[in-house]
Amino acid sequence: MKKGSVNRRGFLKGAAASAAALVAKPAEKAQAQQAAQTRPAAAVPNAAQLAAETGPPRAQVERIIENPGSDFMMDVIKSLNFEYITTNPGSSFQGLHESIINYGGNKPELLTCCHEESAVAMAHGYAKIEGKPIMALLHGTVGTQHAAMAIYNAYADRVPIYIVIGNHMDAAVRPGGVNWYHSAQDMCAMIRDFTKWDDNPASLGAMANSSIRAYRMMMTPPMGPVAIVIDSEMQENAMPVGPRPRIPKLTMPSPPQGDMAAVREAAKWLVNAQAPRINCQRAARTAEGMKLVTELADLLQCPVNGNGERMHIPSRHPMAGTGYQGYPVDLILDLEVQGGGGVPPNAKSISISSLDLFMKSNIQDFQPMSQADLAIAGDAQATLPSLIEEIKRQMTSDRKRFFEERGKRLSEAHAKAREQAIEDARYGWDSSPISLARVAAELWPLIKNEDWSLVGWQGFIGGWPGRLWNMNKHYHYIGGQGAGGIGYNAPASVGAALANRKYGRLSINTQTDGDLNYAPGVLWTAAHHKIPLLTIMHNNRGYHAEVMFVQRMAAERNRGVDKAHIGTRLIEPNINYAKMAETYGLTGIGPISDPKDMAAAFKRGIEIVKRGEPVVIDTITQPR
Amino acid sequence: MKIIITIGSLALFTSLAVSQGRGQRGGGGGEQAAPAPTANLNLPPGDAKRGETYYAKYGCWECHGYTGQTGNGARLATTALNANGFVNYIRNPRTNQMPLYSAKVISDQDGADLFAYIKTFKKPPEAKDIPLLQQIINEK
Repeated sequence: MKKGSVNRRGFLKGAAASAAALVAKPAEKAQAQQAAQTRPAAAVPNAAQLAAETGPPRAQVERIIENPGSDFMMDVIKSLNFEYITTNPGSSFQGLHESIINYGGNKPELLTCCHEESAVAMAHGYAKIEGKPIMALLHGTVGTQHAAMAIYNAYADRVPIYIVIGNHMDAAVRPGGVNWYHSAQDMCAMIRDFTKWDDNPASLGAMANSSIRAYRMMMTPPMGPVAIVIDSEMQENAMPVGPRPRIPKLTMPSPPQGDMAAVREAAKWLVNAQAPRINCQRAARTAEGMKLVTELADLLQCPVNGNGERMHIPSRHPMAGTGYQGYPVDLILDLEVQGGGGVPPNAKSISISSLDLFMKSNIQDFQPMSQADLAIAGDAQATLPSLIEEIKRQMTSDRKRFFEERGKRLSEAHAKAREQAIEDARYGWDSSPISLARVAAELWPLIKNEDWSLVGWQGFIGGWPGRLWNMNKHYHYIGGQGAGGIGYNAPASVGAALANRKYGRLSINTQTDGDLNYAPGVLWTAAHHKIPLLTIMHNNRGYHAEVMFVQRMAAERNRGVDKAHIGTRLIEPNINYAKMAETYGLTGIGPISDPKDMAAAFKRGIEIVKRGEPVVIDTITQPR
Repeated sequence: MKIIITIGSLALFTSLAVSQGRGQRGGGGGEQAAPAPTANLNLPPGDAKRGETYYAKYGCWECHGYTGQTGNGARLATTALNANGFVNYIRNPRTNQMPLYSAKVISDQDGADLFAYIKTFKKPPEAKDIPLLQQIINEK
């Protein structure tokens, strides 16, 4: 048989025959063993050894396949220019795994993850910093189910993740036992509700086509995860005889812009409004998006409400916020706001959203029906240049003067809001456990002259970084989970820190204890792959929101609230996160419960991170 | 897995709006802006030591922090209420976020003890006396 042309079915057949032969000849085997025991130290080759060296190849040689299908898959993957592949290993993609590290030279670099949820959430965090995806490689049904929550978070957060899933598709040759549990007829059925597209290609040529198609669909707004299933036989068998399948050229479609007639109408409404407000949720996909939203705010001199999920406007920009008390909103402009924001009575609203172009989920992530009076289907970031130009064209000198007056009052309101934030921060200043405002205030002077990036969600820490820090770059904050699924923060922060690494940025994560305990193995991934990240624990020893929920429920039922800790708190024993970090190979500092000890610990942590290592500082904090 | 209910809506808006949202929900002393119902309860004298135990047992710390200064709830350390107003308030809070405590759950005596403990809370330092906060306000 020609070298490299054997397929795995042939090999398995041959292997079975060889095994049968061994069983059938116990006497010969015993003789051979005896001969080996009695031979001298520098024995001449025996007949069998001579035959092995000089005779025709043994059947075992036919196992060698030097042109497996997974090498071609690797060529396809390389054409997509991923920087990394995150994975937890599994037999269903062992062929591709080998091709990545040997044929592909480990480029994209394979990152070892301890849980598929971590692998996907790392990709989630990475994409929000870098503006482009990495690949997550999953093992069959079990890996896909482990990953499902993280995929759903990314879907709801409109973040691109390129997912490849191994499968033992052909039951006729599928290895026995556990591999059956790990295989599926329709692998992506379990994640189809929250992926943009998937395919199960039946040939290498189809795999190439679907892979490129998936990338294009993933990156066209609204972005979202896609999945390609790769058969284990297709990976491990030799390439079919004949011409090599073509890898289609990757040409990215331009993002969809809103209809120009509608954009002109929107500009007219905005120019004529007395008190417009801009709401942003996921409008700024890149640094350019933040620049455009800020330019629009400068032009209209109206408030921008929306640094919750992405950075849209610098936190200290005079137009950042919701306006002054009693600001008489008469027009809302929603930019990529899922379901539309709240609209005051008698106010009109305009929405610009790519979500009008794509909606499929069985799950109710689409939020309540938008009440927009003018709905523009299109990507907000791609539509903003036209809207800005149209507003400039329609603006009169009278309106410009009016806007300037409006802006002065809004600037004053913004300054007062900043002062109020400082006033609020003094509460709990000397408290132990430590107040979250003090955590943010102590950290700020140590990072403000660095090129820093807050990679964890600030919702659980009272939004204090956004209230006290000067956030003015798109990577200064990247929002949260998307679908509110806990377990996102730790791995997404590691992924975001990975993206920040090549820019030399100081990545900071304020990490809740409940979230870290979903899959703490991601700390090991950070240590192993030398991903610099300063993690400061918000260790309130519980699932605190739920403590409050249960307490409220018990109180409303008049049953007493003294049992609300049952099922909600992480105490008895307390968890020591500094020791946990050390176990995973990171530097662990703390626990710290005296606020006076924080500055020294933060300084030490930052020094270590700047050397290129991850650090965890266990800070015992107030509940909220 | 769980879904975040209360924070999700905040996540949409700016960090400054987070501040305002907290104020609307009672942070920043919002609950203290208007007086609570003031039925005269003829409360017994409170015992701060017992009140400390109840502060933990009844979970007050969960929304008001361990020192009555932090969290989503009103800042107890600077409360303007008297004991009578305090117990009236916990019987009939003005916000849905604040659990309702009937006399069956927290007796008048327990309420008076709680209030006695709350009055032992230290007030926070003034912002002007905290150099770190002054540095931040002076930044552009």
